[in-house]
Amino acid sequence: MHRFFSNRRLVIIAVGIITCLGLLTLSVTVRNRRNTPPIIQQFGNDVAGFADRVVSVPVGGVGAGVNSISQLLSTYDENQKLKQQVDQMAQDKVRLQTTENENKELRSEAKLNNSLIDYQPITAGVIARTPSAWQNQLVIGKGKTSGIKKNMPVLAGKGLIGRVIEVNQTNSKVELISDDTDTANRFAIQVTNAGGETVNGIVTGYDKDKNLLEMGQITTKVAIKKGDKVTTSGLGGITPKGLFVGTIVSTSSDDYGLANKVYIKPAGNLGTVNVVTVAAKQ
Amino acid sequence: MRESSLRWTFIIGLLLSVFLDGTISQQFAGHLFRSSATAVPEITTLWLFCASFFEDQYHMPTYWFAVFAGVVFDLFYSGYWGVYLFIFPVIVWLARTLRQVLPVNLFATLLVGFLGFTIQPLLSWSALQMIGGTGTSFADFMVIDLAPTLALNEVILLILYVPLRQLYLRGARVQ
Repeated sequence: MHRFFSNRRLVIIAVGIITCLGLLTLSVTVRNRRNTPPIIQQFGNDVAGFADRVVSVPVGGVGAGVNSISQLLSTYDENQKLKQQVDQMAQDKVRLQTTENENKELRSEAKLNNSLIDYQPITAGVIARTPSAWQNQLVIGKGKTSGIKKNMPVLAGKGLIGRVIEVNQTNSKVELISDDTDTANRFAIQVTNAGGETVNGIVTGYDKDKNLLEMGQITTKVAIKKGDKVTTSGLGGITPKGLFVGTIVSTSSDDYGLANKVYIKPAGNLGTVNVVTVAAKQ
Repeated sequence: MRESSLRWTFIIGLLLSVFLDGTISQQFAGHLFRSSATAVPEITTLWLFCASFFEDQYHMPTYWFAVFAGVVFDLFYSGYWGVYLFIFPVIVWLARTLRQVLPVNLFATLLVGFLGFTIQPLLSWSALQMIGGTGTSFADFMVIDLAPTLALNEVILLILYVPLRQLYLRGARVQ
C-alpha cells in the first residue's frame, strides 16, 4: 500500500489516463447532445448521471434481493388472485379449442391450407449471451437438427424478442430486436387501432436510452394512439402474422400529417432470458 | 512436474473463463445489460492478462492460448471472424511489455488491467463499427458501455488479485 503511493510517477500516469478518458467521455457526450444549450449545465448533469449509474448498479443488486423478500410476503394474496385466473383460463382454453376446431373446419371447407398466422413453436434453452455491449445476441441450444432456420422469429416472455441469424447443427444465434445495426433485418409489423383499422410499417430502429422500438415506413393516415397493440404483419417472408411485438407509447407526426415515428415498448423480455420459443412458419 | 500443473491450471482456467463470460452475461443480463449502463464481464481478458503479467519466465505458449480463446469468442459469441482473434494476443503482448517496466503490485496490476479492459472493448467495437455490425455510437460506447464495464472488471480483478498472484508466485518458487 505504502509502495504505490510513494511511486509518484505511477500515480501521475494513472490520474492522467483516468482524467483524459473521463474528459474525452464527457466531451463526446456533450457534443452529441445538442438540445440543451448551456454546456456547463449539461456537463454537470452528465457527471451527476454517471455518478448515479455507479451508485444505482450495486443498489439495484441489493434491491433485487429486497424485492424477492417483499414478493414472498405478498405470495398469499397473489396466490388467491392467480387461482381465480387459473379457473378463468380453463374456460378460455376450452373456448379457444372449440374456436380453433371450428376455424380449421371452415378453412378446409373454404380450401385454405395454411394462413399467415400458423406456426410451429420450437422451445429452446438459452446457453449464453454474447459478452459484448454492442452485439445483443443469444446463443440458444437448438439448431438445424430441431428444424430451426435462419430468420425465424424468436419469442420470450410476452412477445417477440428477435430473430435467428445463424444456425448451427445444435445451436443457433439469435439477434435481439434491440440490436440496431445496418445489417439487421427489419420486422414487418402492423398496428390495429380501436376502430379495427390497420397500419403497416417496419421496425426501423431501437432507442437504447429509453428502451423503445421505433416504427417507420408508415404510409397511411389512419390514426393510431398510445396503448394500441403492435403485432407482426406476416408480410414479406418467414415471420408469421400476429406475434405480439409491443404497445405504442408515443407517436409523432411530420409536417404532412403522417405519423412518421411511432415508439413501441417491447413486450418481450430482453433482459435475463432463459427459455425462448422459435416460431417456425408452417 | 510443477510447471505442467501450473500449465494445466492455466488452460482449465482459460476454458472456464471463456464460458463464464457468456454464462454470466446471460444469467445476470437483467442486472448487467441495462439500457442506461451496460457492464460486460471480461473474465477471459482478465485471465490472459494476469497470466502474462504475473508469470516470471515464459514457460507457457500464452500467445497460442490467446489465439485459441479468440477463435472460440469469434465463432461462438460474436459470429464474426478475426475480432477477438486479434484482440487477445494484443492483450498478452501489452501485459508482457508492461511487465518489463512496471513492478508487479496491486496498483500496477489494476492500472494494466484498466488498459486491458479498455483495449478489448475498444478494439472489438471499432472492428464492428467498421463492418457495420453495431449501431452503438462512440458516445454511447464510452458512457453507457465502457465505464460500467471497466468498473465491474476492476472490482473482479481486485478480488482475484491475491489468489492469482499467489498461484503464479508458487509456480515460480517451485521451478
